[in-house]
Amino acid sequence: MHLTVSLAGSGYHPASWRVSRLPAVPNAAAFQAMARTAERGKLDAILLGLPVNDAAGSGKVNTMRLDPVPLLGSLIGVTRHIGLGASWTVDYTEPFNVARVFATLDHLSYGRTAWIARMFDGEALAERFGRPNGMEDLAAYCERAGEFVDVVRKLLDSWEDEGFALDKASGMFADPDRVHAINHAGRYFTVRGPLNVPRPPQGIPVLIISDPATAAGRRFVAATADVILTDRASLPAAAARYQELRALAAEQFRDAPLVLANINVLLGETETDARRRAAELDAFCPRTPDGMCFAGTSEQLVDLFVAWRDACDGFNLLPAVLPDDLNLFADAVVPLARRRGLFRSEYEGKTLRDHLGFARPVSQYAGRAGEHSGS
Amino acid sequence: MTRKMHLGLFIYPAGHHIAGWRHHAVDPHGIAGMDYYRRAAQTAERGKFDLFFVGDMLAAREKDGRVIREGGLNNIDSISITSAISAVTECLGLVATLSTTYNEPYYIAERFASLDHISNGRAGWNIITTANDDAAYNFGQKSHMEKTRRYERAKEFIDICTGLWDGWDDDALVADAARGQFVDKARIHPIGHHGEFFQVSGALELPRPPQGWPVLFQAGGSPAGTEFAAMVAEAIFAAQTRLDEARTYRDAVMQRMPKYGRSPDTLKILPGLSPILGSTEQEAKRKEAELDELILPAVGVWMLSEQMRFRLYDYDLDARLPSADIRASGQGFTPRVVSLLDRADAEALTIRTCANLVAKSRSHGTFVGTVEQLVDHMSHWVDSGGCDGFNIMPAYFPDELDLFVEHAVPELQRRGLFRTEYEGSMLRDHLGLPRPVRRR
Repeated sequence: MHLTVSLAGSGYHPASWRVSRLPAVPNAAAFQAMARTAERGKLDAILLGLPVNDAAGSGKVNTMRLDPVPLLGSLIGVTRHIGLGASWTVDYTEPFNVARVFATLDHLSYGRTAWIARMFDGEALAERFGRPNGMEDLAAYCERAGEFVDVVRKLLDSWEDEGFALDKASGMFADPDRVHAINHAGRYFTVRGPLNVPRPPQGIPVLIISDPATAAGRRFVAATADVILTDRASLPAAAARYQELRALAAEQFRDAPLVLANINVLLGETETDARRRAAELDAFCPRTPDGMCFAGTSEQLVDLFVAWRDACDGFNLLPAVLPDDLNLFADAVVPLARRRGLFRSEYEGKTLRDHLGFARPVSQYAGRAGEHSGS
Repeated sequence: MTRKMHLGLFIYPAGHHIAGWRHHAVDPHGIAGMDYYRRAAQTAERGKFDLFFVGDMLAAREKDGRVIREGGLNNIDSISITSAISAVTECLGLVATLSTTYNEPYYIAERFASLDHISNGRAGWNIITTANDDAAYNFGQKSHMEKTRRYERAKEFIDICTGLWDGWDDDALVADAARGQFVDKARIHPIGHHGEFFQVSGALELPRPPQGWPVLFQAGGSPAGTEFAAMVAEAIFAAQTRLDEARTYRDAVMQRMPKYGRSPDTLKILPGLSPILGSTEQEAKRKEAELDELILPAVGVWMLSEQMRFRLYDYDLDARLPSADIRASGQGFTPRVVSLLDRADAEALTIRTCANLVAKSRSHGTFVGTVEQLVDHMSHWVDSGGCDGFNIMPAYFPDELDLFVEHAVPELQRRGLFRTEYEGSMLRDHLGLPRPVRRR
């Protein structure tokens, strides 16, 4: 089983800020402490930038958001093993910027990063960028998003591993035969390349996408993502979605992506304790399901993990209150899951791909030495 | 009274000398990993530097899409590096370079506001409009935007960013558990920008950054750049290599500031300076010669051609630089280029020599000598009104940075020219710059 955790503000219960011990203002030290806790629990990754549901509105929810890219950066030096993902939209940026940023983060972290490609939700961003995101034509939207991802991958591949030659004796820093202009000229993007960052340690950082609301979107995501985050609120719904995504990948001749179910987690030492905490918070404003909402003990949560075995490959935790529910998870739930043989006791590899069981991809330009750019 | 100077560390993969990566003391394999940047930043902080500076390029070092074999690497993404460094340093300012030509203002405003929050008020943004034409090809453009237009876009871009940073009243974050109110929306002021380049509405999902705004840096000294600097820059990464040019430039910017309602003492100018230090002048010169021997001519000619926007590839290396043809071929040359052309004329320099000059420092100022000589040089520039300090560009890492911090910094301190302790925690404190007043 794979486990990731999302960190945001004071937690993923809309009333979390009323009880959280964390300072209200954005606080780097708190994020660093939580990252260390997640790493102590040997979680696969921390996924940054997943929004807190603001259904209560009117300033009643802590929806403050640090840009996930610098926030990810700030966690690299205080962790050693855990994967680090950050969301960045495909709607209002350019593939070259995305490739450059994630290649850099992957180098800095020695291969621990994931790009959470934010898509299918750009309506909320439209006013900030002065143009619609094009979702009204879903087929065209998917085509553009697919081309975006394709260009990012080409740029990340543009330096073959051997392209970063560093041969002091001959003075060859980069091997021009193994660094490739991509000369992409598509319907939506025209990008020459190469990237100006050597190929990252993971080759291509892990690509994570949230399960979209439409069937057409889902078909696209199943064909594109390494990891999909689902948000079904019940076991039957989650199991059905899991099967659907796997079938969609198979239909498109692709290995099944990993499916992680978002689960909003509120823990208690006892069931009564958990219910009391949930009741107190829900009295302010109830949790709106961005996935399964759990309130209970560590044992009950591990039972749920077992029960959901055929509904996902693991879970992305949305702790109800930070840091409490993360601390309880790392110190109580993880050891229990480990005892039941569900979860790792040590990191076995170095990169996020290692943690997730993904191979490192070979550059799509490998073996094309001597083929030159353009013309 | 002696004026205290300001020091930045301009980090670079392997070093600022183009052949620095080939130096026997350098391990080029580590130049993209966290350990490389952490070590340099912590050394700079031990030396009480004002700031850590990272550049930005949006195209590979290439010619017609083919990467330059000897070319080394320009800075990898600046926000990634500075945010990573924020967690392993406490006081050091963190200046990242990003382009207004190839980004969206909302993202940049959010990115720098976040860096300022994450670092507790240590962020700076070096605003560039991107000078290399090749970047256009990586962003779906047939050609690079013309310089005047780029600065018009930059101005509008900055207006949006500052508006977004000023969006939250200081008391907008109420976190009033009793009333159940986290923020008071009446005290958050969305912008409604409708300009020539951008339409941006809304507010950041973040309180005003600790410094109000990140410190606004600017680099680039063309006429358009100088005007822009006078309008918005609080600090300038300058490129003049001669004291008289530096004074002329500094005066030019400062004279223009009042018309934008700004006082010249709210600006700090830090030219680049790449020192090579030896315990004797002979040793320093020997070190320089050793490094220069590692430069292959092709890379110098490429750098020179790029800077001059003039293809020198088919010329005889030992011919004089065709400066008249170069001058006739274009306009709006950067001061670095003008300075080099003037020098080539005055000293009858060959292409090989010019290529070598550009390659070893990327045509920023260099200094080769002893610690005492270097400190004399630096204090002379500051005392003569040439600058307020320097952006130090070590020829190769980490050795030349270590030498500077272990020897030059104590000498600067002994002479009362540089701080011995940080007096504040924010970059504005280090630079002596005021916190911008909210403009609402």
